[in-house]
Amino acid sequence: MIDAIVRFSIERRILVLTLILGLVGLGTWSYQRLPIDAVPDITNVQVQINTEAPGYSPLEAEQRVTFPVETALYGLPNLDYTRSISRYGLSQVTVVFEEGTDIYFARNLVNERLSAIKGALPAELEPRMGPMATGLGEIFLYTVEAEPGARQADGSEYDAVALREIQDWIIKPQLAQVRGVAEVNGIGGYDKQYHVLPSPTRLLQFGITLEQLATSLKRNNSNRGAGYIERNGQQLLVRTPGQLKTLSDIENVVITVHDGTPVKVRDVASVAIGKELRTGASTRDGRETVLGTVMMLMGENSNQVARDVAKRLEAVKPSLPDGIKLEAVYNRTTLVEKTIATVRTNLFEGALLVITVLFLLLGNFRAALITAAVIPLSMLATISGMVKTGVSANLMSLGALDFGLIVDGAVIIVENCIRRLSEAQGKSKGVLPLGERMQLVYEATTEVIRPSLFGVAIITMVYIPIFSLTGVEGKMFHPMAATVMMALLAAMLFSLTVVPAAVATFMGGKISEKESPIIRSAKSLYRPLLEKALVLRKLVVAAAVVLVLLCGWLMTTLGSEFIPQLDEGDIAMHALRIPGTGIEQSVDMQIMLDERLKHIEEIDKLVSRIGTPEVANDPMPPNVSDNFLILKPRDQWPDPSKSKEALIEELSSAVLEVPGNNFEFTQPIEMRFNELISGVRADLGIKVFGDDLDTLRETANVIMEQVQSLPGAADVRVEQVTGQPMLTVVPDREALGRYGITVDEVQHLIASGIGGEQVGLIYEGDRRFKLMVRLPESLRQDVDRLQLLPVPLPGGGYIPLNEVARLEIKPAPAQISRENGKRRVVVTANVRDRDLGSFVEAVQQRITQRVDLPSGYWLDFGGTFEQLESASQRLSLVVPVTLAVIFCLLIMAFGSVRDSVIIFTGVPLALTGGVLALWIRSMPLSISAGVGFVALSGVAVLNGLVMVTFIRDLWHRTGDLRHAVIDGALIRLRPVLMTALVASLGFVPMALNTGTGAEVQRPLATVVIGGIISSTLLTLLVLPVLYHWLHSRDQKDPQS
Amino acid sequence: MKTLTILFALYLLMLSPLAAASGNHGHGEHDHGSHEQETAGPNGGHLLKKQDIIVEILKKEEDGLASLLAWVTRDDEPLDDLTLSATLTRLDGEQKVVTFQHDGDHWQGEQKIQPPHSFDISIELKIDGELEHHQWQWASYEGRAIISAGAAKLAGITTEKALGGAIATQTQAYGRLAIPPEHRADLRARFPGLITSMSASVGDVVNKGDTLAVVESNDSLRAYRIRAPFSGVVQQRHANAGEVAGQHPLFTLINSESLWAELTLFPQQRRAVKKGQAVTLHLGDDQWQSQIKSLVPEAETGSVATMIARAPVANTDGRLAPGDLVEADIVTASDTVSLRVDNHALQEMEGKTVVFINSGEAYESRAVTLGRRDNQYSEVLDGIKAGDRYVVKNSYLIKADILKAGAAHHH
Repeated sequence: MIDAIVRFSIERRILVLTLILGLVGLGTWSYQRLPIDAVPDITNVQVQINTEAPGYSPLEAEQRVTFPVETALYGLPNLDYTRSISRYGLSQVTVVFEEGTDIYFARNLVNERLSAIKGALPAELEPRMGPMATGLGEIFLYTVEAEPGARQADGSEYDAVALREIQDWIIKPQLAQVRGVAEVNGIGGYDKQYHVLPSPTRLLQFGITLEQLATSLKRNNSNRGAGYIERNGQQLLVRTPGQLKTLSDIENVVITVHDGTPVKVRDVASVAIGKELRTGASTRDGRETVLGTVMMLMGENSNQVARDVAKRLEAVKPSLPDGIKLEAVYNRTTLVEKTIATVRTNLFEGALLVITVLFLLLGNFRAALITAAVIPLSMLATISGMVKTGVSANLMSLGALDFGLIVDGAVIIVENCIRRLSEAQGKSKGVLPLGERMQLVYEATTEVIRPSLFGVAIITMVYIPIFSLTGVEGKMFHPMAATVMMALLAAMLFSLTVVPAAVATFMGGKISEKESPIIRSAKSLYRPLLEKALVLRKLVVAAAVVLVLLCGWLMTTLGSEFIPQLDEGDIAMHALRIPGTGIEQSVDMQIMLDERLKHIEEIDKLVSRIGTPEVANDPMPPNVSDNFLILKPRDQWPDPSKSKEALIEELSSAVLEVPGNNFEFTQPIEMRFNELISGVRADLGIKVFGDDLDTLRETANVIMEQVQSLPGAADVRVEQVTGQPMLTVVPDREALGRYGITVDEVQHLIASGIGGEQVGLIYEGDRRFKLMVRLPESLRQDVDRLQLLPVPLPGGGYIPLNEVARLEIKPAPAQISRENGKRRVVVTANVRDRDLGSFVEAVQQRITQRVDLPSGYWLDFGGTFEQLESASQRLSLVVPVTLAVIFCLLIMAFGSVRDSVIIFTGVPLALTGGVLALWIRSMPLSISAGVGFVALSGVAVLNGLVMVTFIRDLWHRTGDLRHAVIDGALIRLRPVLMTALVASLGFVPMALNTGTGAEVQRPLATVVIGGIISSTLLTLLVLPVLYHWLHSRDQKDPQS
Repeated sequence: MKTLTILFALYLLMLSPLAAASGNHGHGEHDHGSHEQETAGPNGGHLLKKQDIIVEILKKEEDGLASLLAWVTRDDEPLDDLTLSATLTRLDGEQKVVTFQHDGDHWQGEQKIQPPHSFDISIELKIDGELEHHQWQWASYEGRAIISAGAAKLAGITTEKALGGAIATQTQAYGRLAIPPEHRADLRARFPGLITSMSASVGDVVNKGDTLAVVESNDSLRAYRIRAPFSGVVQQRHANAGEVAGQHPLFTLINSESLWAELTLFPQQRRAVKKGQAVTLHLGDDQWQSQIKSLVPEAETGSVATMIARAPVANTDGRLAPGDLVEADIVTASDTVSLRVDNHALQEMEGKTVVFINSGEAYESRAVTLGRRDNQYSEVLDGIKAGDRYVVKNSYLIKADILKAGAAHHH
């Protein structure tokens, strides 16, 4: 069949070449649709359910909201697990589905369940699903600020409330319309509210209760439509307006009539524009600001969306009031462009080098061009394939592409054609007629097509074990393997069709027979070497074995990292304060921190997010802030050569000068992934499930002590669950009964007095603001005065609060975490200097022996050790199977186990160079490097395959083993050198690059370059020697 | 086939470190704090080494008191003939010497150490009389933060000397203003008769002795004057000339130049409020000073057993009106205490109230026992000494700094 394809391609060469145009078109079209991002998306399939519950404490949020929501989700199809947190004012349930579940299907299911439980939730609360975005979703951040001296229409300066209003009502609606935007999430400033602040004294004076005040405001603030009437044939719509519009409207609402005079709101309360009880804030360069985060819809092209958002942001600017500064702080495009630039430079320079090498070695420019043409073509085909299969373009997926490897098959074919053509021309002393040329090209192609196809197939095969990785690792590396395989398959297809067609068409002229001087000198060097090696064969083989063993040992000394850290260019920093820190205190501390960071010259922009934003996609408590440190371009640094590690070192010593903060350094995208994936990231996590929070904590502490005492345990910690001081107002039922007050009345008074009660909305055009009744700030903040808050008595009069309730300040849970519908506390531990498996066993044993779990409490062991176990299990199955399949392929190709073994020896020999190269550059072993090794084994097999095929054919033809080995090796010197050079030179730019994203490609490139050098040397020397040695017994009978 | 086996082994070797590496990802960023583990000895104490001598010192806490335990070995053999002593220096420079006695396998510090258990320890070891002499020093701090003077200034941390002073305990009450009984009069005609003239009308300001009306007595038919018994304002006029004055009052005369604030005291406040205590009355933004003049149980209304405390308030400018509801801060006790701290300085740590004392760039928590308190100061019974410098403003920052190692972000 292969022959048929090749023959067809050569005969219908014009058709085949025209098809290229179609492919170019398809590729270009696909490129427009290719989602491009910096890193692969590792988010799992999850749906967040956020329920804002204003005023609810963690305990109430859990009991009233989280529990019913979780219960409703039981038994969802494809459900993996649920987890939840309940915090002040928020319940968040995260539903994680099994991999591969369609997100729209999942959201539908969740939605259906949620609508069924509406009745079980408190009436005013509504659970909402989080925006449909992944960890890559936060693509654009901007700040809204007022320029110094800018004034509002009424002459006052812009404050945090006014800025927030601009964000919510001018900027957000415009940006949310950009295609691909899932949500525009605001944080910082205060939501504008209309506040009615009653004075308890004046309420008492008129004998008015808070409830009366609230009711009168509720009843005096609505418009009503009243149908229509017809008058003389004319339809008149009827409405009766009654909405409150201004502060003085609110002030003039009549509450009651006292001695014939109406008592208005302004008699008992002051009315003002006030601030919400916020849960989040934001700062920029040491000032409070309003920060908007644009979140991209799942599956969109972040580069495109970020660019559109930036464009729209410019369009928004003229619509802003004078003096308002709207500025982009973080734009994903920057990172994507940098990444793409890195990939592009690498690929371009690599391709250029490949062409140069081909030209130098083939001595024929046309041939070099034909071979090189495979590069853009397979690239276009790969892009089309990526779009089709939904693989996004990023550092990982494009990072492993080496066009040197890809053109290997084409190189072999073109080289052989040239050799045969020039030989034929030499014989016939002239240019060959077309028919003959076609026949010759056909023969030359089919001569090497089988080994090179096998080679490519084998390279492709060795990528298969990567698909057995699951979880985060799988998501990171599947795209890489998929892309490489697609590129290889495309290149293979082109070698079959386009390459022979092009050679037949374009190599019409005289083909210079002269071998390039490089090849000639290489040959003159190679022959004596090979002859020597054949004589000293024992020494050569022994040396090779020693080298392999040495490198095997060397490999164990290399450090290892599993997932490479992609440098995003910017820094994200968590500033952590002690739990229980209030939002305003946290803002103060943040501003202090900003002031210190301002002095770091590498930082361009500095924004922070404190607490929870409007849409609680990352519900942080107020004591935690996310800091985005946007760095200046390197050339503007005082020392452009400073490494990022050094900068982080410097930063962390600088920020530690500021009292009261603890820090974690990460990167914007990485941080987001961590927030979303959010599992136990320590080696071992022991989850304690149960009902009572105190018992859970005690049990967890006992477990922590036990684990700590085991050898090998490190960083043993119990998840922090307490630490939020709470002012508890405990009603005294007896006293209440005596005065005829119900518990509910007291609770209502406390809730609306301190937390505030929403009594309606005030409309300003489209804008709508909450109308709240709340006690004045001076009273709310003063616990001593709250003790004396007058509680109205049913028969008139009042009683101070402390007569009917006890006020206590005591610690309470700051957050309640649940998993799969049960409260849990996690004990985490890492393992040092001990094998993880035995440690986990010891822990399990120790806990069974020493820890007495109360009934109704149980444990669950999790953590990365699980993934490790499953990953090694899978790999230990898949790798041998893959190798066996490859081996079978080889046997199929040769019908000889012995030859297959000879070819296989190339693999360890190739690996030696890779290990050495890593060691020389002191790089750790990583999956990237591993992929390099995988590619190497493929190349080694490919080279060996071609070499062995040639030697065998020669031997079968001439019957002289020694000659066959030497001549065959000499004939194959050029292609072997060529494939080696193109593959390694193609990777040189990658190995040396330091741009964004280079850290993923560097180990891979290093391994391939090192490996190919060793593999080439060994293919050229050890392989012929082995072949000669193993077959010397059969010399008499080559047919066996 | 042997080669093949080796190859398999090699391929596996190649992949196994990668698999093993999977256990390590994700650390790094998330490890913080708790790395500065001291060299802990076999008994969990602090290890001191010099030449072949190893001393391990353990600080043990029991019922709030700490004691020191020591193990001294030379070449892993316990040493007997030695004198061991420790000098503890606290943040405020206070020193304490602990001497050790041999007790079984270890040496027991004889002196119990009062909290706070935060000090620099200096250990002195003499072996064989004076022949061998060793000294070690290290810091054993609890609840201490170091903040540079610059950072403290930037953070707005202020300190003050803890001194004695007054503490005025207060309670709040609401009450209405009322006209004192002696300043309100319903003027009646002494003898029934015909009112011949009414010279004052509602709102008129009258002086004591002014004639308000003239009545002709039915009995004597003589006209007599009705005079104002005190200066004041005519609040109501109930009759007109030509009417017959009988039992009904003709005028209601009031004087609101001084008013009573009738403050309602609820059971929990009753005990504290006494006659003569100072009161500050608030109405809107204005305030008036006064004293409690009398305490009277209110007529039992419903089930609330309340007392009425009366405090006079001058109203010469007429800004107050009877019936106004005022808020009162009653100073229930005013004492001079030997040591008091600003309430802003108080923080909670591990269930205890603490203040932070300061010396140079070091700040340390001190658990304090508080006595009386008012809305500005609290009396300190125990925990710090007079003259100690303590943090007043932004004391939360010191707490945050001391506890920050425990701050973590669990997603």
